[in-house]
Amino acid sequence: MKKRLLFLLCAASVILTGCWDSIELNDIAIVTGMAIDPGKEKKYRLTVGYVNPAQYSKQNPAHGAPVSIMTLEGNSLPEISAKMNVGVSRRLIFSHTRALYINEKVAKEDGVSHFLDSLERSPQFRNDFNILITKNNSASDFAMINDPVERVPSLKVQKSIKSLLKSWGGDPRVRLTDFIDAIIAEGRSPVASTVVIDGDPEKGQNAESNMEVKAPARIMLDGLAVFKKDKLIGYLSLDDTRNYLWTQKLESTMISIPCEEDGDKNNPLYFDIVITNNKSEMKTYYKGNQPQLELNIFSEASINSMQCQKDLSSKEIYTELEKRSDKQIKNMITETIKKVQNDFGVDIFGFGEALNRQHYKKAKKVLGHWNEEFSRADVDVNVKIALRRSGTRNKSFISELPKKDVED
Amino acid sequence: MSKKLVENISLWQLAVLMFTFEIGSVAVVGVGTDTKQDAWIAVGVATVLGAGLVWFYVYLLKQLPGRNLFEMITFCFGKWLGKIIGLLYVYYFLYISARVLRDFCELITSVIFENTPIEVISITMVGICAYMLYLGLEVFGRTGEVFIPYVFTFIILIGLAILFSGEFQMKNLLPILGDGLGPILKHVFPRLLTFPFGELVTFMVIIPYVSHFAKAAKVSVFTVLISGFIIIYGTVIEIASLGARQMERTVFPLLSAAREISLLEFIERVDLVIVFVVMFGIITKVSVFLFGGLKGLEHIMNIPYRYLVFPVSMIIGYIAIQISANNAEHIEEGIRFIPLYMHIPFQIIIPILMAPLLIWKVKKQKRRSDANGSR
Amino acid sequence: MGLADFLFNRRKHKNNNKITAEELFQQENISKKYYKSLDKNIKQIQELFEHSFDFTVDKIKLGDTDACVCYLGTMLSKDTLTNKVLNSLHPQNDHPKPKDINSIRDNYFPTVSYEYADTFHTVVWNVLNGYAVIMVDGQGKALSLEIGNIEKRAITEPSTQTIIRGPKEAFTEDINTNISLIRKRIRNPHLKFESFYVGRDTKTHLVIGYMSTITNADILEEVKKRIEKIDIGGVLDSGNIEELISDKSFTPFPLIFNTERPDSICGHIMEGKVALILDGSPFVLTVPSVLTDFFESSEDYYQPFLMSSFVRLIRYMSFMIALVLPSLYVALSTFHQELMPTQLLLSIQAQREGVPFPAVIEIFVMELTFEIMREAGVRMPRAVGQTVSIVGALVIGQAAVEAGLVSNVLVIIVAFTAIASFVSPIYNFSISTRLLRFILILFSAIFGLYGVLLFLIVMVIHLVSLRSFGVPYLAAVAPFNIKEQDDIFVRFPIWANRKRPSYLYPESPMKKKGKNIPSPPPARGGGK
Repeated sequence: MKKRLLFLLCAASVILTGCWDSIELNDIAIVTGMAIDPGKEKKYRLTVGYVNPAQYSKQNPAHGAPVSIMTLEGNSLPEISAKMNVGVSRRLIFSHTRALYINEKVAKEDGVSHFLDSLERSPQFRNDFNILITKNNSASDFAMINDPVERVPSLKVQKSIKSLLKSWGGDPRVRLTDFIDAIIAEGRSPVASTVVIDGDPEKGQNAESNMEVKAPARIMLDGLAVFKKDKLIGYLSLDDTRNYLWTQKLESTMISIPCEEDGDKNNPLYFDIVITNNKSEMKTYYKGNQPQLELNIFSEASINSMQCQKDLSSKEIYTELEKRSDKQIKNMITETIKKVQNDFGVDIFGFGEALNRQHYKKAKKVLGHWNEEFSRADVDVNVKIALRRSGTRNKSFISELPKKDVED
Repeated sequence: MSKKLVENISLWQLAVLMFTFEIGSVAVVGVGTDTKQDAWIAVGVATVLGAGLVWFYVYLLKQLPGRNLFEMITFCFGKWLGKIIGLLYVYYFLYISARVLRDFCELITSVIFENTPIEVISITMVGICAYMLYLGLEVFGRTGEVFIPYVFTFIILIGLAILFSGEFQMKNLLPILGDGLGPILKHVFPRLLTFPFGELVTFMVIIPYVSHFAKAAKVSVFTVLISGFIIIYGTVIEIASLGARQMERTVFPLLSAAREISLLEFIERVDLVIVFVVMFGIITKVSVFLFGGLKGLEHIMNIPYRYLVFPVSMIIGYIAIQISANNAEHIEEGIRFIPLYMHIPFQIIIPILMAPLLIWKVKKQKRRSDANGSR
Repeated sequence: MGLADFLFNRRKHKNNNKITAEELFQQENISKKYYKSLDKNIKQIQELFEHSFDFTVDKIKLGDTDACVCYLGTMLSKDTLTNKVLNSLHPQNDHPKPKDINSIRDNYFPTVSYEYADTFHTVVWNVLNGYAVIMVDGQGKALSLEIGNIEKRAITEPSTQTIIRGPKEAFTEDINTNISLIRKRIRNPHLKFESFYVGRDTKTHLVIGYMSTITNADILEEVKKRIEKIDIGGVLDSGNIEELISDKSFTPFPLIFNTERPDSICGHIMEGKVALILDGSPFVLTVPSVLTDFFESSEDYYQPFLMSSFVRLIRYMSFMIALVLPSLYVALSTFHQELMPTQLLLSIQAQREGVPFPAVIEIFVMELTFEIMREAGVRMPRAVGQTVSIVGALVIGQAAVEAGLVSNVLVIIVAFTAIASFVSPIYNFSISTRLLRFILILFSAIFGLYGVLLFLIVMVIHLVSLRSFGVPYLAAVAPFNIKEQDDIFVRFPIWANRKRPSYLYPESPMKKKGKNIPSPPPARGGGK
């Protein structure tokens, strides 16, 4: 009996002093977006956007702002985020962060590695938020632009990126660990998506802006930011981003290709193909002392629209269109790679990693100065498009029109 | 010799215990991270060597059927020297069990409970082990049987989930053997061979209680191969989903890999499943070492081990915290000091020294009993 | 032609497979011979029915000839027996001296329907079927008189273990009725019923029933030993017995199976378990029981095996849900917010806005409320039952949510947990989950998911350390036996399930010899 009592006492001491890590749902604020700007007095200015849960309540939805933001300055992210409660009533929970906005100035001048370490180290942050470089406006503006459909702005951005990847491709699919890996890697340089605000951020912050059909401000994706080590050195356009993605892993995209190579310059005619299945293979090797970058792309596609008079029920036309597409896509991708070689001189494609995989001994020698090697390398892109089908029609009704009418 | 109440475990239970023992702390800290993308090859090599080592242990046990490691030591080295070596083994087993416990505590405190005192985790965990051992080896074996399906399916499922989440990139495994076999062999011996495979030396205390002792060798070798295969599977998952660079950086590779899972937009953030697998593996591992130590004490002090379970386990709970001041010290000890000064002598040198002595003594005893019989 | 052949062959096939009672007895090594000597016959039949307390041999005199009446007291109406048979055999009755068995019947029992038994097999079969068999010295056959069934209290449908398909009989408070319900299903002389009297003051009749050819002798010995050890003033229900003979009292899990379904008891007896029937209690116990018994309903064997396997898996799942769901909610919402998908977390948080209690208190209060409502529902007069459900569902559930005292999610969780806890076919088992659930909530409030895991592991350790009459409580799972898996989590077709559970160490491990997989006749039309 005494033993049992003793045991109970021990158990009670644990139970009564327990709950070190528990926190009620009413006492937390779920952070969905973080924005980092250069600080005025200290190193950084951090803005966090956290959800206002009453907005999500089904019973009595309050008509307040869906998110609330708080801004503080400090020298490191953990320090600032721990201090946030000077103004926020609840403990901030970062595990559901969806987007990290980094002001381009921070990325250009200080580099990003100083705060990325704290994010990777912390058990709270997961590897599923998007890293976004903000152009023009300050990063904190992005954390507060309302969206009428997705009420939480950062959720909106993430969803929109996800949808874009499915339909067109325009985000490099870079997550925190990939980004950090690319910073330390010798055969690859990091990239990140960029975003801009289209419209007036002042108006977009207002919760009432959700009442309007045409949102006064929108967050839009705007291509790629190219880094050298952890410093931002330049931007690529949205089209280049798609081409970049083509070298990596493209889910699906849509391209319009002119029907004739040198057709009517004033009124060019296009056909559209949608890429449904894509496979790209990267090969890096040396021909003598000259590095060779080879990219083999095989894609399956189907025709989505046809502006010119081609009879899609004929096999020859398919072959012809395939050739046109091959050429067009090859030019696009080669151009993007060349542009990166000449403008930035950093290997964002991971050709160096391919060399490391394929020719390990050679890679050991050259990876130390890979970026120079990359800049002077020859590029060879081979594209093979396989057109499979053309929607629910074969011949376009346009081809039935008398030729004259079309020209008019 | 007095007839004791003999507890038996079945061959299947032995296999289950060995399996969970093997994958237990490997699931926490990961293995072979130094060999980068070739870690799985290193594990493969170590598995084969480990299977040989285990066969050797069971071979030793077969010379003296029904006696455990400590009884064997006394048999070989005589009463006093035997007791000293036995005590050293007790010390070794208890120390390693504290270390394993600490591994888990580090995982919990750095991933889940940042504010909870590490003492609470360590005491509760070791409390479970003590309770289980107090109820006996049979209960231990059966508990393993209940949990093994979950442990096994979770490990397999995690791999599949990562595969379907699209995080699985085979190209991370390339280049294979870029630097040749050299660094791998260097890593296999002593580190990979001794941890996790050589640690099976503790099972020399348990295997004598297996009901079909004759088949124990086959089963143990087979189990080691299977668990080696699962460790390879886990390592490949880690490398393919994290990449060799990140794997080197992370403290808990399998956990980090599980964090990449995202299926159907809903099955995500499942990394606590890993904690469950790990938790049961750790309980098994701590208990096996604890049991080894306790049996040694029982042999040396002639007290039934059930009297010692609770005090000794509480001491282990305390040692696990005091063993090192911080995580870095803990890991460094595990890499530099332990394999060289503890694993190799206790897992390899002493058993090898014992082998000729044992065979010679057994032969002598046999000759004598034969002589007695013929007279 | 082909069709006719098919039908004809089929019927023939069926006839060939028919096993008569006598063939059955031959398999069991019961001698066929009916002796002329009464003593030999009596010895023979007494050996066969040894240990069956309800078997009676009344020795009588027919004039100068020795004779005897044998019957199973639980299978026939004793009133009728006395009136029709024993009274007319009374020596005072003036009857001519009987010459042979025919004249005995003509003289003594002209009005009772009868049958002659000329083999010992028939004698045994008739006894088992509730006949009174009169054996006369020097005669080549015995006279079996049909007495008619026992006067029973009306047998009702089971109230606690209802099923959709299958027998709708339940045990009653009368022990003889209960035994006859079992005897009716197992017509076998090896089905023994031994009688004990327990309770120093109440002297309650306790009968153990088992198959002497199946049940392991050690287990039987242990059961008897424990019953003899019972020392208590009075027992009023088999629940008392359960507590007095079970291996361990300090456990929330029932170590002894109870049911009010005769078919279920018969199934257990046929597996090699021992049934304990207490006079005055409609709940019959069987020992040893293992955990998986509590997840099996007798209906599992009456429905197609795929369906019953599925249902069985659902039962195990709902056991887990009933056990851990509330504590998972506490753990996830107060410790591991990062583990929930973002949208789910947002909507749960939104619902909890304004709830004044911590999640633990909230769920504790609601679970307690539910337990109170359940208890009230059981105890109160039937007539007000409707009221309680309305008050419970509407007033407490809805009003509490609307008042903002508890969140919607929580009500869903409590309700779902409650429903899941009713799935267990044996009520006793759901009690254990109710109890453990509260402890589990406490653990999860202290340690989160780690606490839940801690508790579950301790629970499993406790479970595997339990034994029921020497049989490990988790038998077939731990210690694992692959051959037993045909009737644990899923049920294989009946023809595939040929073995009795090996953890019971049955005297005859096989249920049957052949595999007899049902299959259509080999060829249609062609061939023979």
